[in-house]
Amino acid sequence: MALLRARGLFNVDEMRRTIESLPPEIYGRHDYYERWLYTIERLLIEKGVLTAREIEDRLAADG
Amino acid sequence: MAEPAFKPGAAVRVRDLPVKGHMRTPGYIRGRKGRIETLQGFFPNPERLAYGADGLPPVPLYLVRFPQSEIWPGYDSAGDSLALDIFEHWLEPAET
Repeated sequence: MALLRARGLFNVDEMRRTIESLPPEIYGRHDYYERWLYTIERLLIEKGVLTAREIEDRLAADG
Repeated sequence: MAEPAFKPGAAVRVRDLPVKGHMRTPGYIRGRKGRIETLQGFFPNPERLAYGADGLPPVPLYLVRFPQSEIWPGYDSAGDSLALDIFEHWLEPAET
């Protein structure tokens, strides 16, 4: 998280905006740091650093 | 950096701007009248930083104090108040 911010990939206000815009069913079902995780994924996809497919593929490979 | 528009003691009303996206002023305080307590400083605008902009030029942030009776209908303890940090673009002058 600190590294992502230090590298200028996103700032804390973008994180807040993204957490606020999580769908209610995701927001309500997950705890504080899980929401961070969703938010980091969404921002990295929004900014074109990663694609949803790259994340899915990597998770599948590690599973 | 621009001069702050409000001085300590000034009466202000919170603007009732359309609710759209990431905002730093809570809904319950919109349209309410308070008084500038102090200037907290100038900060990059977080409502723009939230969308990847640089938030510049920095905007004045004030500590604004509101009587609780201004916020909650029927509140009868006259001495109680609530202080909030509010950015200048959310404030307009109010009659005293």
